[in-house]
Amino acid sequence: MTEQNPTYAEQVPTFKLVLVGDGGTGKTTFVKRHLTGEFEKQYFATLGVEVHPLLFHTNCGPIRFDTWDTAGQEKFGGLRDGYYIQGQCAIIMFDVTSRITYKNVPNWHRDLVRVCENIPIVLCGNKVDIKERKVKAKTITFHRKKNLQYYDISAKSNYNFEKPFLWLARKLVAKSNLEFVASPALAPPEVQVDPELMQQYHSELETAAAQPLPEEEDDF
Amino acid sequence: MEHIEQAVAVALSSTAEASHRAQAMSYCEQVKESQDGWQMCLQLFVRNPKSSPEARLFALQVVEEMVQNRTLNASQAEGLRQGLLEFIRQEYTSPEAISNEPEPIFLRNKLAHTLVLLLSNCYLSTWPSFFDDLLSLQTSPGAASDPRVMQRVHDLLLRVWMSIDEECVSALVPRSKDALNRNTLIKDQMREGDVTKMVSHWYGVLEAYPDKDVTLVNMALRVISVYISWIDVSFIVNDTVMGTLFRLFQRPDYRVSASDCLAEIIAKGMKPGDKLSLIQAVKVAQLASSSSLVNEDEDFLQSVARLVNITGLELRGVWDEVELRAAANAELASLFPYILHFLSSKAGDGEVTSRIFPVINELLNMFKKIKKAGGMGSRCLALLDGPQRTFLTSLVQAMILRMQHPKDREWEFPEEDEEERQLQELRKALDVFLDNVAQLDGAVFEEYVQAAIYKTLNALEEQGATAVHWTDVELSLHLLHLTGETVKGTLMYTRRAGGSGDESGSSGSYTSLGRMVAKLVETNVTSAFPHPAVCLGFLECIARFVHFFEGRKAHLSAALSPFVDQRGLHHPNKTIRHRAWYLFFRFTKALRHHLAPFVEDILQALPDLLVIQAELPEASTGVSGAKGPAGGGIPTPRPISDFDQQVYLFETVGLLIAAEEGEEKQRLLLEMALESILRPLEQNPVTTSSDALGILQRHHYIMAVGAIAKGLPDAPKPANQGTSTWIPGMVKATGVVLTVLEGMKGFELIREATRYTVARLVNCLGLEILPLIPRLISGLLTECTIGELTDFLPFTGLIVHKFRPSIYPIIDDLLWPLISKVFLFLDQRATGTDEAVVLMELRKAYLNLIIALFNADVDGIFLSERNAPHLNTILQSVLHYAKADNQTQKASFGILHRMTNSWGVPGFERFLYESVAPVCFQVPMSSSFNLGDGQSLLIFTEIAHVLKAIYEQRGEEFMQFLTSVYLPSIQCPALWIEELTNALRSMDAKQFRKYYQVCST
Repeated sequence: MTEQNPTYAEQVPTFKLVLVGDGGTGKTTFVKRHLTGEFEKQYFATLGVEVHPLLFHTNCGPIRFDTWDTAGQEKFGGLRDGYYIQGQCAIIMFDVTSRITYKNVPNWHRDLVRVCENIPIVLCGNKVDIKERKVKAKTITFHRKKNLQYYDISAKSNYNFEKPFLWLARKLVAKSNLEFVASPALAPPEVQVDPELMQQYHSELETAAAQPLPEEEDDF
Repeated sequence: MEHIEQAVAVALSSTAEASHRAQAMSYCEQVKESQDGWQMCLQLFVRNPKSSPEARLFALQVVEEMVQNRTLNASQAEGLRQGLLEFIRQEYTSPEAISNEPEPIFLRNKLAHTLVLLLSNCYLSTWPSFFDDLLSLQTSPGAASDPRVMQRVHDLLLRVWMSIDEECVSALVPRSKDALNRNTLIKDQMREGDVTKMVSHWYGVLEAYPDKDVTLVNMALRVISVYISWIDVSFIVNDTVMGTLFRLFQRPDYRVSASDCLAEIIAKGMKPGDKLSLIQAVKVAQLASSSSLVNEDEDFLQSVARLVNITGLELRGVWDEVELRAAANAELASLFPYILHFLSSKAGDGEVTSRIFPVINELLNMFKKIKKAGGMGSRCLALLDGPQRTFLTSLVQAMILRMQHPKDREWEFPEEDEEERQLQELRKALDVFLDNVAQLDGAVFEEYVQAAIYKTLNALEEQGATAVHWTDVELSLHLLHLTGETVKGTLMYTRRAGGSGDESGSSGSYTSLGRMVAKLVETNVTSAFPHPAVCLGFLECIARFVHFFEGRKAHLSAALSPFVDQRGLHHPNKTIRHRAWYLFFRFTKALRHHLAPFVEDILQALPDLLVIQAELPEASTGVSGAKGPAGGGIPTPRPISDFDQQVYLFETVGLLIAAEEGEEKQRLLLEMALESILRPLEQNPVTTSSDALGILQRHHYIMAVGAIAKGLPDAPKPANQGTSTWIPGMVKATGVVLTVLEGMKGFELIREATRYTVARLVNCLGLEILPLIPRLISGLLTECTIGELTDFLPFTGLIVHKFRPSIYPIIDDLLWPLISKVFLFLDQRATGTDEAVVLMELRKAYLNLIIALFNADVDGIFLSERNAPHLNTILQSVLHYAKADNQTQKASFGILHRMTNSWGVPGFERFLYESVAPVCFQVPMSSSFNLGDGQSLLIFTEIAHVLKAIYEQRGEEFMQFLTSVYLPSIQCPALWIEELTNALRSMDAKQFRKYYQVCST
């Protein structure tokens, strides 16, 4: 495994990625899908702070996201926004089966940009594999107001796993034609998403994107 | 303090040893939790020389937590305020401070935030001079003497203003009711005078810094954007500030923020008349015209597109006021060129275009209103004013052009290509708009859409393939398909009623749609352009306009060859091939009565596509159906494989065989079709759990039998008992399937395939399948999961209904084994919400089966010799679910109602009195029964029916029982008893339901 070679690792452009969102939204599951990252993560057992080095191969060479997953200390303890210092990009995650986790997205965003101004941020709605979806596409408007990118994802099925990283990579190296040339090794899916359902969500998102933004008061 | 600094450093390090880190963390925690930790942290934050930025951030975090979560007493608040202000004086305004490095941005933001938390705590009480104190920093000696100090002061102030928005205003952030009330008070207090001072600060920055500090000016613009919604509009909308905004709009460094700011100003809520004057003053069109909108950077184009969009939407609101309409129309007309411009813009991967979709949508709605007001008979175009007319026709043309693929790009499948995917999405939105136009004014739609289609098809016909580009052809196909979508109701291809069947018909009898479809088939576009996107578009059109081919043998023949050869069913690309299989299935299904002359040719072209080759999914989950205890878990669906699409082909084979004329030929074709499926199964029916591929292969074979069966027509009704040619073949196939099932009933995949196939065989075999039902059910149920059982129960209900009354002895035999299987699962306790849902589904399916048995008039089986011993168990279960949960109550009472009506058997009245009647009273009185729930109305209806039914069965005996036994036993007052029994006697079920509902509330 070449990534383990430290001299090689030093040459790889590396970005600090901060992964935030309410507890239970699936941040840890998400980041653990990437198997090499999972293998090499630096794990602090007592505290649950993990830094996962996630390596991707692009047509512009390899790129690494040192992903800081502040698992399990969303609410209390830890250094909270201390972890964001020098963050170069971020993923805010919520759970589409839990409205409150979406409601809290603006709080995460606010805390994040206070420490890291002007970094590219992706908003991810996780768990779209679950049929009882509560946060519908048309209610997901926050990213449009703050110019974030949004993706439906399903960590358990690997659905759209690469999308957030691809978007961040394009922003960070300022190359819109950047592509991943090889898929990273991912843990096998634990569930399968229904492709028709995903297609439906996808078109709902597109339809929602074409709609005018609702009045601010109606949002939450 | 050094300890804190060290601890923070270690805790944030990604390389420190785990135990070391843990120690550091817990130390930080202790500081946070200790009573005076925050004071130590305040010291740490302000001290000179400075600690590490990380430690100082942590320090402010501790202070903030103190402000937010504990109650500050007056002296603590004062100490904190003094401490922070002193620090600001030192850091920001002392003459020496300028020699320091500026604070990192995150510390400036954090300090601003801490100040705002103090504001929200103390502004209304102990710190009314918050704004004065901060604004006075501008006049400090340091700031006055050194412009660099002044810049730092402005920077901090602007960050504080921004933070106030986030902490106290922004509607994006969820807040508690208390916080909202407090924020309202804060805003009210700020409006008393502080806002005026703030505005002059913003304006000062906008005036002073455009040539000196880009960041400050952009920050000030953003501040205005967020404050405008709640401050007095005249602070901003006046000649001075607006003049400055217009000037900044012209400068590349500021134009995006200025444009966003103008959009927020225009979006501010106000009376329509004021809004109109504001828009007239801003002159968005003039602003847009002042900057080149070609080759500009994406952010700016998006921002202007957004400004145009918002202005348009606001004007649309003004337009609703009749007296302002003329002026609104004039303003809207000035935006039309920019709407069209952004619609055509390819910048930002379609992002710029999609920014103006909302205003296009609203304008089309507005035209619809105009049309409605003008009477439905009139053409919309004639009702529009000149600019609107030009806009509508230009809009249609621009949308058509925007739909076309770029000619200079390699085409790829949307799933592999982001740009293609974006175009497809853009098309979806534009399709909707064009459809709206078609509904508004069909002639406008036809004129431009048909012109685009004919231009390409004519050029292709007259000048050959070199005269057109494949993207022109693909666009025509898309537009033709869209034309079909705009027709609400039946598609008509000829002017004559019926719309088809004129073989010799001259093209003169075609409708415009018919003429286009004919032209498409005659032009033979897929020969000239075998481009994958053209093939796909062609097939979609053929399948969409399938009824055109009824009675048009020549056209049908011309459409069939591209469909069947390598441009369709045999296309080298898998995606297109799969789509073609599905479309061909739909095509065949619709035209099956017209395909007889082609059946043999088509079937001869298919065999290579009908070879079944199971592919194991990459992750080998969900294949071994034998794993896991029966009843556990949710089944995992497999990813789409070749076979999932092949199923359509097998059904097509069934349809084609049925379409063939001549019984002997049909029999022969079916035999041939089944041969390749059944032979391997007969030779080798069973395999073991280690052979995952073999299991999947058998699953596919069984499903293929079912798919063919699905294509065959239903068996003749028993009344005119004639046997069909395919019955012997399919009976034999069923036997083979049964053998496999019985050998492999432990495998979920095999059971799943058999369920699918049996459901289809029931229709095509009719009564012939009846003798096989017991074997099938036993094979399917012996080892089934809870989910399978839940699926199977409604199917059982259907079979019973279909084959009643002949099925009576069979279902009499099966009833108890089936129900005991249900009880086996229902006895389990749910350990989680998922399981609870699954169990609830089974409960409902069980109750619905009982209802289905009543509906099929075979409820006698409950009382039969075989099942009577179990009757009490079944009755108790129904009673239990009548009490259990509002999801099962309606069905349970429904069953009790049916039983009461149907079972006048001796002894049953005891059950009615002892169990059924009491439950009718207990349920509405129970505390868990929610009268406000919509379900409760339905349940009341059922209960009323049950009570009425008992009365009708037993008459006064029941009244006697209620009056003297039951109702007194539940301490019901005598008056009420009298009223209730009278109601029950005199009212019908519906009236009684209302009465009973009222007295239960």
